[in-house]
Amino acid sequence: MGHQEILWKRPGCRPLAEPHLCHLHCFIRCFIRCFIAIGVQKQRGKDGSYTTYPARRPPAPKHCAAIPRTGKCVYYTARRQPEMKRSFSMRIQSHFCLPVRPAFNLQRLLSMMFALLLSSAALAQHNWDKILEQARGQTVYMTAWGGSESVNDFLYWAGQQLDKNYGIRLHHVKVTNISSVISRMTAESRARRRHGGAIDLLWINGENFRTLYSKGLLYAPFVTDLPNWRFVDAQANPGLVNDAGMPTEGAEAPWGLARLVFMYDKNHIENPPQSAAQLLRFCRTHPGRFTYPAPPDFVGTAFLEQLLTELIKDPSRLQQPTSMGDKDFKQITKPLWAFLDKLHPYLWHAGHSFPLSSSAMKPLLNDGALDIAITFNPAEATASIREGTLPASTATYTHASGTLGNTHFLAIPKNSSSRAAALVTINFLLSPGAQRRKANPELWGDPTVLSLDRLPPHERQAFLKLPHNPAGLDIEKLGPGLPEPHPSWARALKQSWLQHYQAG
Amino acid sequence: MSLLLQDIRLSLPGQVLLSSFSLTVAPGEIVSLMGPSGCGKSSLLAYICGIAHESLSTQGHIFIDGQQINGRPAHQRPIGLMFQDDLLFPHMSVAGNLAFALPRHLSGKERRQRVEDALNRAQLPGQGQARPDQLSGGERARVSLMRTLLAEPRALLLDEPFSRLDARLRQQVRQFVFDQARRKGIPTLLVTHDEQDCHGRVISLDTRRTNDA
Amino acid sequence: MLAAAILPLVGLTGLLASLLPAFGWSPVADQSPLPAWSTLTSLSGLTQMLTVTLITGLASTALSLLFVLIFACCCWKTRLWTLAEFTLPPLLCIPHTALAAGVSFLLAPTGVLGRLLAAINGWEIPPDLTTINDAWGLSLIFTLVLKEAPFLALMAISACRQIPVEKLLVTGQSLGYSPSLCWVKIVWTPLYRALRLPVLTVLIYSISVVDISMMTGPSLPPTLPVQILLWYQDPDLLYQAPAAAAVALLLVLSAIAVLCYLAAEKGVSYCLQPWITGGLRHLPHWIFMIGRGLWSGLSATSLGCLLLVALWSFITRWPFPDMLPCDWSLQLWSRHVHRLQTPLSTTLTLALLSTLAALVLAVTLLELGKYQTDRLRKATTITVYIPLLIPQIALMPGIQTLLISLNIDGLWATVIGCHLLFVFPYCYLSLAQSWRSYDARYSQTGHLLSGSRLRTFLYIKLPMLLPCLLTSSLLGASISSALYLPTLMPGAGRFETLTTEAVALSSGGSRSLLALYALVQVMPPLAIMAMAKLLPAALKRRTGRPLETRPAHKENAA
Repeated sequence: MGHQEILWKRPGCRPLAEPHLCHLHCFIRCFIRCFIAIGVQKQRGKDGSYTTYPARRPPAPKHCAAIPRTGKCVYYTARRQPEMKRSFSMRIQSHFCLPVRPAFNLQRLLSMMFALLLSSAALAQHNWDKILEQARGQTVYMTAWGGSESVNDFLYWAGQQLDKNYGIRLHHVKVTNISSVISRMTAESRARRRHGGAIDLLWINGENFRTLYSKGLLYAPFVTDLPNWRFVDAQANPGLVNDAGMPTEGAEAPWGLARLVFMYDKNHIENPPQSAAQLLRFCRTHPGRFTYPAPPDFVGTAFLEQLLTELIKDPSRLQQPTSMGDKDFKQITKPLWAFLDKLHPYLWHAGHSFPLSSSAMKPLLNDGALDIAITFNPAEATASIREGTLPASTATYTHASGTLGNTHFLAIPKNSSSRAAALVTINFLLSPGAQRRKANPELWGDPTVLSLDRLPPHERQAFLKLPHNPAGLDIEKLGPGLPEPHPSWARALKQSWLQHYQAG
Repeated sequence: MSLLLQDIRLSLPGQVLLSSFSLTVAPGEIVSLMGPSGCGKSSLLAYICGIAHESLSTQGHIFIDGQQINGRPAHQRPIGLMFQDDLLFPHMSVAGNLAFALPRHLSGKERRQRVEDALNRAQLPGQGQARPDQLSGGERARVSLMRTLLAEPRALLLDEPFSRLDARLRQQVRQFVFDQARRKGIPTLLVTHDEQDCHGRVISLDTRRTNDA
Repeated sequence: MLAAAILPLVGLTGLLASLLPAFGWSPVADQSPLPAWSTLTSLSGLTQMLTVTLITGLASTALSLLFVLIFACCCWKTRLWTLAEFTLPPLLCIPHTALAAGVSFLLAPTGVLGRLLAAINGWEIPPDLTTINDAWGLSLIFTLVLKEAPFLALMAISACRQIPVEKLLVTGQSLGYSPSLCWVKIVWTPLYRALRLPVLTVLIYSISVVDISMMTGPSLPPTLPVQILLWYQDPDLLYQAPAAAAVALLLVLSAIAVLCYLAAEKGVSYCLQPWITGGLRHLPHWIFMIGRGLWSGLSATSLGCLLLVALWSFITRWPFPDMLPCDWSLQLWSRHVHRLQTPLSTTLTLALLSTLAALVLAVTLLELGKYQTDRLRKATTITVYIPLLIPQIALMPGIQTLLISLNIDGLWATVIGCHLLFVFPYCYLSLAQSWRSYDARYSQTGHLLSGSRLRTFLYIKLPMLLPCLLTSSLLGASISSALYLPTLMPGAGRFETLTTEAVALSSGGSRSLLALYALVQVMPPLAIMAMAKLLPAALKRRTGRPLETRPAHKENAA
């Protein structure tokens, strides 16, 4: 494709910090557009401009230029050019100095495609090697919730592996609440800090992702360029590329799956309640033995959404946005508040006091003050029994109609100074070895996002040989996974619950 | 070495302690200042040393060997001061206390020699490593005086230095102090309540009279 | 005076930056945030929240003061006094979360109390009683008293060294009053005057404490500082402006509390005046027995909580209703001890550097303060106190915004500077008393002898005040090692100290891990304290001569 000696700079252009990925994208996109230009219909619009199909507009071409004086390569993005009267294919062909021929035959087209695929694969591997080289010696500051020993142990192991194999130092910044990270990133963007941000890697999902992505604070897209992405089947599982009701667009990489499950002590209960109605009956016969964390804790909010999904006639309404002031919202949530009004007098402390988080419920279950605890990790019981934070007779169950599930992701802030190392880290965390260790119920038990069909045979065998999960629930036994409602429902439910019950 | 006080005027807000006070002390002479409490004796000594309280307004001149030392800060005045309490530094040994007073330009050997001499003269030979709280009251008073003298002052001020000692000790220590001052020829100004402490000229700071003993 | 004002000015700027979102300028959320004041006023349960916050603050301060009075009256010259001098400093080094965890384990239905009751009544499952997190904050008051009474008692002990207590007691006894009543009528007033500023600090702290309120305070509605924290933590960043408005409300509440307290103080002294001069000379002996019992009970409860917390780091299983744990092991220690290295070294480095800086600054200010008038000196003291009177949650978000906009966050110097903001007032105030009681004549003698101010300062004044400097440095180091928000926010998460790790890990609900980190957090201050006690004694023994080798002729010479 060649470097051009012209420096093209227009208002609105900004330099990219990572020339290698740009190079890769450049190359592939130009060739694909070439291919589209040749093989796809063009339609002339009323104003004389040409639009190419498919309907989704490809992104603007990136022009690479060299600055002769400094010798450094600086790559600029350009704003979309105004459409010209020449046909698109002719423009591309003249740009790349290709002979403008009226037609291509199919054989040449097919051979061109084949060559294109081979060369782009080779180029991709070459680029990834460059990233690995750049990442060596860098430090990655990863913010992740620090309250779980299993997670901390896993990240400690990951840090050791990254240091040994890639020369990257992974620093796990333990946070209690991810919103402190978000407000820091927002403050940094307000202070126009474009490089050297405090955080290099984030463990997020849901509303947090939505907030950051809408403000343009995340580096995107990077996910599909990771070598280990080939093991992920995004088509079979759309939840891996959708978060908080919107497509992730390559801004965050799926890391694991989560599902709302309930843990109970087999010695105290024989038949745990498996629906909202059964739960109410259980609480009536065993008053003071069940509770849920108060919103705005995310598990408490998820529990409310679960109840709402079970209590209303048309759960698909939950996929559309809403707000607390909506008349619709009040109508739909009426059964939920009626149910909770009936439930609260039979809760722990008669509903006057709630645990502040789901992790505060585990010691209560351990001590025997509660019969049921709620969590988002299906294999938490096994790991907890091994740590000694839950009795050996703990088991897990879900509701018969299914429980809410979601995916959790990893993202890179735009102003990170160790972007290459962050990419290598995410790639490592998506590797079969790391995913297998994560899915080991004796260590953490978080389900994998990799598709077993796409793994090489020996890796698939290793996954199937993972230890048994006696106290937790394997992914097959989890039952149907209900889709998460639109994030605005969580917000509205939180505010509404506080309004109903905060006054004590 | 002589001490000359010229036209000293000391006043607190609302009260004049001394007005137009002049005094000449010859080398080796001991002058005693007496007077009722609150008449300004200690204030005068503090003024001469440069450690007077800021609420005291002062006028006058002080000359030591013909040099005026009014404007100088306290640590630059070549005056030795002894209080009622011996004020030996509790965290240092006796030798350390004595050595602290020596000028800086001496060599290590010279310093040790001078400290030994001082200890011998204070009748505490070889007691250099003892701590102040291990000595008796009289011993401490002697060490305190030797410390003051080792700093080579050109005038010596004593603010009721013997009032804490019992009668027998007082006689011994008083004699010791006066002997040392006379031997070195240092003009000495002594403030006291006790008439037995007086030796030589006595000045009464009662506003009406000034007597010579 | 200006030098003393730099740190409080930084604090005030941070406070202003925190408050600005309430009035429109928001550095964080720039898309249609919720309106600040209307959201705050429409918060359900607001009145109850404010009442509970105010009452818990005032009640805990008043009770702590009462305990100190009881301690002073009943324990003077008893073994309890000397015991208190030994046991109080370690008690103060316990991190807040650990104490709150200990209290919750003591009082909770599944805790020691519940197990005792279950053993008596033969219950299998714990009773569903709200002994902790109750709506009126009684458990919160209990925890705060356990935390604050030792602090005030320690302040009282050091104030007693400045007041001629013995002389006053002897005078009172010569007039016919019993010793304990002398304490109440004569000695308490000058002692209280020395305690007034610490008491105000304690009051402000009780109103604005977050971590203890979360663990033992009411949950629905929570206290105002907890609500502020929950709003700041909202993932949508919608509540930044209402949180800033709530911070302003918290400041107003603190001011109201201080005014209430001062009014109560005036009222009590007015009412007690006739009683003091009324002539009562004896109180029945049993009152003092009860007093001694109460104080012993308080100390025992504190130490018991500490012991429980320490025990938990070795326990793996302790099901209800067993009175003893069924599984003990060193498993947790062996798993975590190698990971403690980095947090421990960071904590110690930060504590050392910030304490050193605070001491240097305090000593400089105190030396320069000799040339100030009394009024200026008082003004300096009050200025230095300002950062202690502002709640940390009001201060730190604003400071974080300032640091990010100046691009200096994440550096060692920044974190040490923020620690200095909180350590310096304590160091200055603990040194100020000793500086005032230092006999200036030593320095004057030194000046006249050596002819150099610097030599006198370095060789006379500093060594004589060394014990106070060591105590002050111990206080500074323990405060620095317990700071959470001032390490997390300016440090951009790069500085892992024992406190940040402990708070992050405790959010997972693991009591054993919390206990382990609490024990490790207590160790550095304890080590420094042991050093501070043993070092001066060792130095003395090394340079002093033993008495029996003094030659006999010294008796004659004297």
